[in-house]
Amino acid sequence: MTTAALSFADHPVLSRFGPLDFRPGKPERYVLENGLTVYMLRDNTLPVVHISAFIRAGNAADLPGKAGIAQMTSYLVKDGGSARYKADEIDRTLEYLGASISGDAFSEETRLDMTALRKDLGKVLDIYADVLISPAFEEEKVKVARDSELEVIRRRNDKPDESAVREAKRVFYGPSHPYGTRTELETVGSITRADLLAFHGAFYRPNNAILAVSGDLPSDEKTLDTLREKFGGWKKAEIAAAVIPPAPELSDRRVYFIDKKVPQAFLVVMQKGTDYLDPDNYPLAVMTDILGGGFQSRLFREVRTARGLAYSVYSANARRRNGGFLFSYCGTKPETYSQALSEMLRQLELAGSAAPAADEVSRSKGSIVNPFVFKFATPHKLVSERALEELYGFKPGYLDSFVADVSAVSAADALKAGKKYFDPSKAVIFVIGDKSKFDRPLSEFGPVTELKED
Amino acid sequence: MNLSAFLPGLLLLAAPLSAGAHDAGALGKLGATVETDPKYPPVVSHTLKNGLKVLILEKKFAPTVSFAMTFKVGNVDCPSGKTGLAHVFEHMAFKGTKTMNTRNYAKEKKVLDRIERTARELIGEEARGDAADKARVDELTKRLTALEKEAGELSVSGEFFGTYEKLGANGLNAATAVDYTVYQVSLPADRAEAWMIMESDRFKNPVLREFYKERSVIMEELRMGESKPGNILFENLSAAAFKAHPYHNPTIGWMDDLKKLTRTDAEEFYARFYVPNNATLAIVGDVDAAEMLRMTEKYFGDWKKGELPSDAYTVEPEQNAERRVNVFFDAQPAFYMGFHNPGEAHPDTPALIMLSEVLSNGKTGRFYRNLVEGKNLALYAGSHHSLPGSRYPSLFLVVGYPRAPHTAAALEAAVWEELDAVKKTPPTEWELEKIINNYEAEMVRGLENDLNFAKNLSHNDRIMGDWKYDWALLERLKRVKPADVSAAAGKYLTRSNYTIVSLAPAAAGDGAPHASPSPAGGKAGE
Repeated sequence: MTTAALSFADHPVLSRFGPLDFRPGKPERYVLENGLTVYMLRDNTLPVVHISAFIRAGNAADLPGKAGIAQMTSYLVKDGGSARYKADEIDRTLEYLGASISGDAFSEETRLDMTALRKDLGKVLDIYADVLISPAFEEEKVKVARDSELEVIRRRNDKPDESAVREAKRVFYGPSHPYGTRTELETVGSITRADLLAFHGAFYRPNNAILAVSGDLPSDEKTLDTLREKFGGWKKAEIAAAVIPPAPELSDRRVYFIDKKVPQAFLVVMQKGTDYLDPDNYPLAVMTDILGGGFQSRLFREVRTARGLAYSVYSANARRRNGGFLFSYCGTKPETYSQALSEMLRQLELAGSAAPAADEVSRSKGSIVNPFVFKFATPHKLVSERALEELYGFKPGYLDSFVADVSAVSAADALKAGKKYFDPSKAVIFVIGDKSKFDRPLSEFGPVTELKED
Repeated sequence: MNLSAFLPGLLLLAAPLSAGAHDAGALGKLGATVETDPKYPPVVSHTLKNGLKVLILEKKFAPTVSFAMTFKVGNVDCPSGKTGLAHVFEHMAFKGTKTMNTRNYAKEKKVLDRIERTARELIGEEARGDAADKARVDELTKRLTALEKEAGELSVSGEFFGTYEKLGANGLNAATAVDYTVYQVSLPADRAEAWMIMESDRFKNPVLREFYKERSVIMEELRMGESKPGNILFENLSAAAFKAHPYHNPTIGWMDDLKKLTRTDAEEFYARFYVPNNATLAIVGDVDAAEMLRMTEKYFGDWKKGELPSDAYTVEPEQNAERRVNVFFDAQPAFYMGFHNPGEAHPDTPALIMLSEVLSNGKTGRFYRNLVEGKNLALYAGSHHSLPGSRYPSLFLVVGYPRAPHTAAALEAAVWEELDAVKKTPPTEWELEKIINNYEAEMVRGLENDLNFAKNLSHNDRIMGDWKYDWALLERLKRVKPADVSAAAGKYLTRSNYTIVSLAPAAAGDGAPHASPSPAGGKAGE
């Protein structure tokens, strides 16, 4: 190859691969008498069984003054023992068998995962059901968990890159909004066994949960019999879902800053995003990907590849049940931070004003649609995605038509979404970095509020 | 902080993946062998004439395929004064080839060569430090910027990435460690041939364009690491515990070395180590093994093998000292402890693995039971039998994060009490059985994630010498007796083989030096 430009994209084999025709499988769905929904997929490739319970209550359901309770509850249902099993006995049994039960709380949901070898399923499932339905929250274990969470709070500023995103959310939503709040020594310190029992009683109910079950199981009928036996006694109750106020409407650009002697400056630009069910999500996903979604996105190309200003630079839409946020992130050396921040703002401006090129749209659509299959790469991923599809309240068939819905996005649609959401004149900019090394004053980017790290 | 992420991912014990599905005739004609012992998954193995080792596991659930290519080249293999070069090359391997990322390679090459000459002059001038001619530095910098712009117009920046993303790549990445470099990606299974085209071209014909810009990106990666307490602790531990062996150096490289690296350095490094006889490719997923072998032959068959240099680097001398480092940094207290271990193949290693697991495996492990609960001293304490690597004797690592108001010194003393307790009293049968059960369960679960399994196969084959390494290790672990664990603790976890790096708040670095924290529990040091 010496003279004429041969586009690699025209490679005779590579150009053969267009959009992937993939539809996710449909596991069986059952509803038990007490309202517990079950997605089930048997697969005997490996002698393993996975179960996940998804509970409709996450960190956004934390009660006022008790920030951290969803998280602590998610850990302690297993770590604090249950009606029939002492906590230490649970750990000894599970760890001896190489099995695991572990909980975690996310913004909108809590999940409790179980993994066991097929031969141990009876024993492990019995513990799993008992901790999910009847946790004991043993006082000593509550104290250990609380002490750990308090220490995590003391250490929360050790990683300034994570602090920058957390604090940006806090000023964007306001510190008392469920999506803006953070745990504090006082809130975690005040969480008692009684609080945990109340939180569990309010949300951990069969009619507020979905079970995803997969792996080396006997027939559906036998498995259902077992699930009825283990979970049938779980009592349903009326659920008072957490109330989430809408995200704030920004009318201008504000800069917040924490001075800290670290080798990089951490930059976050945050704006209003979307709900899970917003029809704008398809074009917005394409536009967000074009802006900062991958190795070929504009932010990556301009800030990293072309200018060498950053290793980590990206943008994302963090959807929520009610009022998510869009953000762009960059870690860069303080001596040239203003170049990186200017470029981020310029790209946000462009994303909100100019139609993307046809090849950008087609690359982004490919990079969203073609890897979609990987969300369903294992039996448990498949049942979990189906459970979440229902938990988040997506329209029926959301996953089935996802590929078609993204494929239908045009450049004009992407621009329309870009215009609606990307406007750097209405944004929170949060910066953590060493002011003494900044090449330009931050005030060039908007009125600055300097905060103290706490 | 989760050290279990560092544990060697262990594989399957008795997979019901069917070995009968293969077209044994077709595989035989291609010279491949199929593992038929039901103890192992039915992996297809073949070595091309040029030495490239290929391992394939057919596995059907979703229509996907995962690829991992491991090269036995890491930071230890970087020439003196060129630390970080292995990682720099890994970044450059995403910059395209003579046909990818270019509009006209013949024209582009001329500009790239001028860039290289200018950059080398600039680096030479800058290396003079304060004596450097500022005007000349400015002039060369300007010239370099102009040339890079000119080269940019002849290239298609990001085409390699973009092509993969559009194809539907998942987990597209590469990683450089002290011992190895791995390139990984998963794709929808129908486009396996695209992988063959892209990867064979990148390893046969790489063009290291945008070198000096990418070097700046890597300098940002270094600064990012210098902002993270865990990174700082580990880097200081390696640098203090290893005086002579190249495990001394951080994988990202020393900043001053990065400033002096040239594209020519990276090209020489590539020519020496990126040869097919230094690599193992693993393919796992919904593919036909015979078809994959035919494609591998077609696309990688003409890749030229090379002679590999000796990797007998300076052996670390016996430590015979306690080394104590206090790093001043604006973060809460924490420490990393390291003890030299005898290397992966040594007969004591299975006992050291058991020791590490007895100390820190789960909530029934001793650190959690006695330090997080019990004495209530720690947020977290963990261990690993061998970091940063496995090609050479490495470090038995213990990390501790005290819980306020308890101090790092108090936690250090309590850790020593645990270490001494194991030396005196062997662990129980229950503690060892638990570990074996955990390894066996993990070997089954390791097969669930295709990309991780591919990485494991290629790593074990190329670095540990056998894709069945984990099964062999399990047998070695089963032979460990409780008394062996105590003996190994007594032999290696000693004061004269001990390095500890502690993080202290930045303010502690001002003023007169304090007496070093008293090593309570000090009777351990024989």
